[in-house]
Amino acid sequence: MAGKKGSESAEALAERQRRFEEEALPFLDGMFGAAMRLTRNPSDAEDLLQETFLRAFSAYDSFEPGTNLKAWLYRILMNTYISSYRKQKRSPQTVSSDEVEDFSLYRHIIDDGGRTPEAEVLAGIPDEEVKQALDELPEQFRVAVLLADVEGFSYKDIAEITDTSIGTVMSRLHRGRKALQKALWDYARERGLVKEEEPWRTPRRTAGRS
Amino acid sequence: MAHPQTDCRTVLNRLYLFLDGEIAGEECTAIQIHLEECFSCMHHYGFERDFKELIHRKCAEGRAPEALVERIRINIRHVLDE
Repeated sequence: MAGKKGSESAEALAERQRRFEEEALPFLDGMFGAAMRLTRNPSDAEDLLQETFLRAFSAYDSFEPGTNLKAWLYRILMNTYISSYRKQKRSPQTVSSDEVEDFSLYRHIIDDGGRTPEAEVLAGIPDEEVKQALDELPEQFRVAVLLADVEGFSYKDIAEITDTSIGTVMSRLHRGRKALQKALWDYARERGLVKEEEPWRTPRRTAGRS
Repeated sequence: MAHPQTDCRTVLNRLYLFLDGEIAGEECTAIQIHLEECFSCMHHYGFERDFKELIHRKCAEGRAPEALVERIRINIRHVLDE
């Protein structure tokens, strides 16, 4: 590739390198978190990012200035992840869907009679547990929640990054959040963060008034 | 569009879209008005908003390791020499 057009091309390359460092590298911090959630271990996350940034640099001429650079980089991150790192399919691809689909952490906490303020339940869950719950979601749900809630992308951006429709993004995000809420609720109950007497039989539910 | 009353069911169905900033214009205003007037929907909305914020806060990793940043810089500069 190099030296095709002599010194002019080398200059162009140097200019591309300068622009890339200035414009793209600042996204590395945020992308490190995303790479950690995708690969679930620091050394794979670092490898993934090295490859992602090399690919991004090679393709940088095809990036249209003025469009969303962050989304462009995340799209390369996702593609690199899918092509190189996903082989070891460690995560389940489905969850027992009906139970999760209808799950509402809010309802559970409210039905619990408000014995524990909801903010207290959530704050009581350590960071590592929240990360682990996210890491254990089926991949499509994990990616949707990661991009929307951790990275703050719009549905349109997520659809582009993951090469799918906005409708699919909405459905994955909905189910991902429900599954995450269920996992955290289970954790909170196991650890006694929720002050329940009889977990699934609160007086409200068993009172036979209709 | 004369938006009569947005009912609770409609608001709850659209809660995630509203929360994610995906609803604009009159529908957005109608939901805001409903939330201001309906304690139960506002409470639910507040919970989902806090949950989203919790995920955002607790799943971040902070900065990338300095050594990684350096390696990537070197990789990119190396392309010049190839």
